[in-house]
Amino acid sequence: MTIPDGSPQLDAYLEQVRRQLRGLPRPEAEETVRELRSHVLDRTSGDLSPASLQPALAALGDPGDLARLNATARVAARGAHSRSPWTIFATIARLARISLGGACALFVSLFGYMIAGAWILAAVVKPFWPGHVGLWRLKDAHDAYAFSLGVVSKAPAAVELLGWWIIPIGLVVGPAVGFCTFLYGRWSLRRLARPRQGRVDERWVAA
Amino acid sequence: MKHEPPNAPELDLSKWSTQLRKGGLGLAVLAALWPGRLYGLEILRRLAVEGAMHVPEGTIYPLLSRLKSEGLVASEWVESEAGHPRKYYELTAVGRQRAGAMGKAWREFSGGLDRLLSPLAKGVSNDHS
Repeated sequence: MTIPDGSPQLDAYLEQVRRQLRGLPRPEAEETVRELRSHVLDRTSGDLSPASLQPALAALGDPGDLARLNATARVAARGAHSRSPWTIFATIARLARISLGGACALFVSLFGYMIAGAWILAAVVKPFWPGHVGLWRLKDAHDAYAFSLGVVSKAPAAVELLGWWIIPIGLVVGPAVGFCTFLYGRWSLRRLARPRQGRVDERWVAA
Repeated sequence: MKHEPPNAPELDLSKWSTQLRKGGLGLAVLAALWPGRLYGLEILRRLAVEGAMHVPEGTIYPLLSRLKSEGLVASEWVESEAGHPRKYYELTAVGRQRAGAMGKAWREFSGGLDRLLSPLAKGVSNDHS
C-alpha cells in the first residue's frame, strides 16, 4: 500500500520544526524532520485529512517547542559524557544559541573559567612581576569594599592581601575552581540532555 | 510528650508521580526494546499498553537520541509496507547488558519497597472495610 506523504498542514508544521532546529548539523536536522514525518504518517495510518492530522500534530506539541526540545537534547547528549573540558565548553556554547538553559550554563562556565584563569595567571606571573600581581582590597567613597585579583600594569593604591602566598594559593584555587566549573558544565549537559515536554500550542489542537 | 511538627508541606501527588515515572523512563524504553527492534510509535504504544506509561510523544525521539549517543541503542531506516520508511531502534550489546543490570537493581529496590508498603495497603483496605 502506498500512502500520500504530504499535506500542506503537515508540510507547514515540519517546516516550522526544521527552521527551529538551528544548532543541529543539517543532516541531523533533516533526519529529525524525516523521523517526525514518519511518526505522523504512522499515527494517522496515512490519512492526512485535517480531522486525522490535527490530533497527531497536537500530540507532538508546538513545532517550536518540539524543535528546541530535540535540538537541545541532541546537542547536549553529544557532550554530556565527554571528559574533555573543551568539548563540554564548546557544546555549552552551541546550546547557548538555542536554549535559555544553555545560555545560563555558558554564563556560569565563562565566569568560572575566568576566575580559575585569573588565579593561575597570578600564581605564574608573580615571580616575574611581583609588584603588579596580587589580590587587592579596594575601598570606595562609601566605605564599601571590593576585591581585585590578577595582573595589572599599575598597582592600585590599596592593601594587597596575599603577597607571595598568592603563588601556592593560586596554584591550588585556580585548578580547583576550573575543575568545579568542568563538573558543573558536565552536569548541565546531562540535565539538558533529558527531554522535557514543552507546552502545546492551541493552533495545532484546534479542530 | 510527643511533639507534632507544624504543618507538613502539601504533597503534589501528580507531580511526584511524574518525577517517579521520569526517573524510570530510560529503563522502560530499554525494556520495551528487549524483545526486538521497534520504531518510535511502537515504543510509545508498548510503554502505554504494557507499562501504563503515557509518554508525551514529542519527548520520545530526544530520549532515543540520547540512548543512541550513549551507545545503548542503534537505529536503521527500513522501508515499510505502509509506504514510507521507518526508523527502527534496537538494543546494542552494551544496551542489553545495561538494561539487564538496571532491571536487576530496579527489581531489588521495588521488591524491598513493596514489602515496606504492604502494611500500608492492608491499612487502606481495613479503612475501607
